[in-house]
Parts: sequence; structure tokens; C-alpha cells
Amino acid sequence: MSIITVDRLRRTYTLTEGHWRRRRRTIEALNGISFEVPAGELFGLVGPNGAGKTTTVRILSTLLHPSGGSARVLGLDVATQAQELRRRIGILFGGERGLYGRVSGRHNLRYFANLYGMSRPHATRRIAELLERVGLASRADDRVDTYSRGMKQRLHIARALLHEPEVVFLDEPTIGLDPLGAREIRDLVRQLRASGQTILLTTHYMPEADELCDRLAVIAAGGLLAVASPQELRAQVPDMYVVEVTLREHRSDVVAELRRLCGPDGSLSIEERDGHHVASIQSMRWRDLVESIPATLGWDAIGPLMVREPSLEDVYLRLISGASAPLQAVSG
Amino acid sequence: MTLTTRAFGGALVMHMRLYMFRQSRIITGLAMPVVIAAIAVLVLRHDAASPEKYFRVMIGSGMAGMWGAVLGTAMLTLRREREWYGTLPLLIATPARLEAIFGGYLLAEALAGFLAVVMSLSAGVLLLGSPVQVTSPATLLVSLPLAALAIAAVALPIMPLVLQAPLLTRWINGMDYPVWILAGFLFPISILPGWTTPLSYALPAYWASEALQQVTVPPGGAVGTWERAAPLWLATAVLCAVYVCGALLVQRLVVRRLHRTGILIAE
Repeated sequence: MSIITVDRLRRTYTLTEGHWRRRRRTIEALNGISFEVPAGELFGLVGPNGAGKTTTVRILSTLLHPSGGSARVLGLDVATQAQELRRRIGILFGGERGLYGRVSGRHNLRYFANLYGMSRPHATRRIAELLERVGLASRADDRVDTYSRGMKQRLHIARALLHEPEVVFLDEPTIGLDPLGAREIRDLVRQLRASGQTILLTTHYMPEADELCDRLAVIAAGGLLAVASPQELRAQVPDMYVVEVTLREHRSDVVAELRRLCGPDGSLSIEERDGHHVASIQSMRWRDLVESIPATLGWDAIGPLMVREPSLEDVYLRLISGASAPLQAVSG
Repeated sequence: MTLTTRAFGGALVMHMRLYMFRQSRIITGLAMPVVIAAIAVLVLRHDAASPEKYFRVMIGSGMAGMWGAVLGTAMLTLRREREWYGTLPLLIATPARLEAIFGGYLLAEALAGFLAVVMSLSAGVLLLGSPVQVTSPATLLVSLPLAALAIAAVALPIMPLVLQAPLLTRWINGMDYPVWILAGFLFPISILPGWTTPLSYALPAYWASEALQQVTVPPGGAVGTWERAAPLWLATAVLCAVYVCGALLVQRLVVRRLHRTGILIAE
């Protein structure tokens, strides 16, 4: 049974510009996406900034009304049955905001327990249990202002779980966290998943999505590009490999030549690793590239060259870049 | 206890925890009523024939302090929750009614405003050198919370207006003084032009202020009784109910609209 059903969901925003002559401009944040999430699944929504991930979460968590299509969570319509639905879902927005810094973590949770209508004894018991679970019991009575970013994020998780929701929406839960803090949050998410909780998680960290999610929806520019498990997504490009070339110098003529060799069916990205610029070319013509790159540029311009299997991030980049023929979307 | 009452009570307690001990609270709650009461007493000190003016100003300056603080909360709560704490989307995502949450904040602020009334009365006592004569403490005990409720009720409709048009917060001072004047906090409305009288009568804060004047009188002044205060309480209560109903209606319409436009949760 599907816990979340999104059917041709659309959302537009109207912006008004100009002081004297007011002009209206409509922006399409979601252009008719559809997917379903069964009970107990950890479903990821991945895409670049501005892709529509947060808009989707906000619609599903009843904060925004859809402009078209429909969305149902736990069988309830997010627009017309919002009040009933809010009791049964938990929501977490990434980042440091969303807490009252001048009061303690316990008081933050107590306040939200009241807003969810929890009785005092039940709230007291649940708050103590959650503070223990997220590792904040010893700091529960300190002001939130004094918490580290990771601690604040763990408090966010405790708040989202306070009323024992059946579905949890986690919007970029590890954003801005150091590796250790991010790992702690991922461990908590894994624990939730193991307890059978249905979770919708948004992120643009591909390793995180790969590690945590049962299935992923890749969205870009408001449209759905694919819905599949991480393994299925990788399997969609069986012939694609990544050629990595270390550049001795980051020169524009070398980059232009690499771009030419890459061709229209591949994609090129350059990143800095340990003080060196490394060009990564995803292509199905990787065998040709292994020969043509040194032959064209010469070993004076490039350093070591290697070929590796594509990661989920490579597949994701290929999907969102639209550099090649679009991949077949796997229906969920 | 229902969800709405829990949310209302929770919001009231949270607001007190967050703002009771801020410097701005101490200034508006303590210093301002004292300053206004002191100025009034100095100006009116030769008018021995009408000592009730002192008391009007002393109570009125406390009420004005209360109104200023409540108006500030009505104007700035949305901004605080949205821009400073980033909690607004989370509040909206709870099953609690937003109006219950904001109502709790306003009443907390109004109750904290008791301090302003106490301070202005104390300042008057010290500056006048004679004790305030409360002829009927019981009626005072009813009138004070009713005054807080009346002031919160006047501010309640402002909240959906700010939700709809956040730029209104720039007019915070422009909305502060008219209510002082029309509610007769510092001087009787009889000295205002006749056309303003209906506006005064439409404010629950005016009737609450009048009720307070009735139960606290200077030495040798008229005796306040339940019979004199009761019609004023009734008028206050009826108008409070009208304001609360109107505010709830407008707020629901505004929140519904903002869910559609997305402005409410925009970063």
C-alpha cells in the first residue's frame, strides 16, 4: 500500500515585479511529477538547488497547496485534509534555524508537544526518551544557543519525532554539518528506517542518498527525471565509464580540447583534488578517450589517467545535465 | 484539555520564557510608564481641583505601556518566527491553529503589561506622596485582567493584516498613538472632536480603561461599585468577543490565501 501518492503534481509561483508598472511573472517550480512511496520505505528526493525538492516536501507536509495535480499522504489529501494529516506526519528542515535559541532544548520540545496536543505526562515521558535517543539528555536544560550545529540538528530530529508520526519528511537533514555530525544524523535516520518508519528524505549529497535510500527520485527544473533504486539507476548506464585525467595546469585551451574530445554524448566536469585539477569525463566512448586524450594533449599537459565505474553521483550528474540522450525512467 | 487550549497555553508560556527578561521589555514595561506618569504629574500638579486626572494618567500610562508592548508583539511576531527563528513553517505544520498560537503570544504580552500598570500606579503614589485609594479591590481584580484581554483583542486583528502585508510593521508607531488617544488612556475622550467618539466606543480598550478609572479613585473621590463597573465590563467583553471573532475570520482567510500563494513560508 502506498503511504505517499503524488500524481501529476504542479506548483507555480507568481512574482510581481516593478514599482510603477507592475508585471507578473509565473515560475513553474513543479511541472507534473508523479511517484509513490510504500510503507516502511526510505525514499530519497535528489536534485540540484532549485530543482523543486523543498517545494515537494512543503506540499506533502501541508505547508503549500498544489497548483495542479494531487498529493495524498496516508490516504489524506494534503490540501483539503491538512488538519488531520498534520497530526500524523513529522517534518524536519535542515539548517540551524527552526528552534528557539533563548530557551532550553527541553523547553523547545515541550512547546511543540503542546502544539501537537500531547498530554503533559505523555510529553514528559516522550521528551526524555527522545533526548536520550538523540544523545542530548545531558544538555537538555541548556539554552539551544549554546548547542553545536550537529546538536541542533539532532534536536530537530527529536522535535520531528515527538508526536510519533507515521511518516517523516527530512528536508536536507545533514546540510552544513561536518562529516562527524552528518554521520550521526545518518545513523539516526538508519535507526528510524530500521524501526519501519516511512521516510521521505531530500538531499543533494549523492553518497548520502546512495547509502540511505531504498529508492530515489531524481528531479531537476521541476520535472522528474527518474525513479529507481540506486542500483537500478547505476545499471541504466552499463556501458558508461568515467575517465579521470589529472591536469598539470588548468589551462583554458586544454579544457576546450577535452570538451571537444568528450563530444556531445559525454559530460565533462573539473574539480580540485589535493591541489590538482582533475577532469572527469563520463562517456560510453571511454576506450577511444583513453587513447585520444594523451594523443591529442600529450603527456606534458596531463598527468595520470584512469578509468573507473560510475558512481551514483556520476549517473545523477549525467541525468541532470541532459548532456546525452535521456535515460529511461524506471517507474516506481 | 483540547488541542487549541494546549496550544494557546503553550504559546503563552513560551512567549513569557522568551521575552519576559529582555532589555526592551524592561524599558517598555517599567521605565516608560514611570516617565509618562512623572511628566503628567509635573504638568498637572497645580490642578488641585481635579486630582482624578493624576489617576487617569497613572493608570493610562500603564495601559499605554501595555498596548505598546502588545502592538509590538502583534507586529513583530510573524517576522520573529519567520526571519529570526525560522520556526513559522514548523508552527504551521502542527495541527494547532495559528490563531491560538498568536493569541497566546498576545495574551502573554498583555499579562506582562500588568507590570506596566503596577509601575505607573507605584510611580504615581511615590510622586504624589499619597496612597492610591482602591475603593473596591475585587472590582480592580476583575478590571485588570479584562483590560489585558481588551488590549490583546485590539491587537489580534493586526496579526492577519501583517501576515498579508508584512510592510505594515513599518507603521508600528503610527498605530500606537491613535489607540492611546481614542481609548482615552491619558485624557478623557470628551476633549476630542465629536466625530471620534464612535471610534472610541468601538474599542474594547476604551471601556476597559473606563472600568479601571471607576475602581481606582483618589482620596476623597467617588466610590467604585460593582454596579458602576458591570456595564463597562459587559461592553468590554462584548467588544472583545467581536474583535476575536473578526480576527479569527480574517486570519483564516489570510492563512488559506497564503497557503495558496506560498508567501507565508517563503525564505
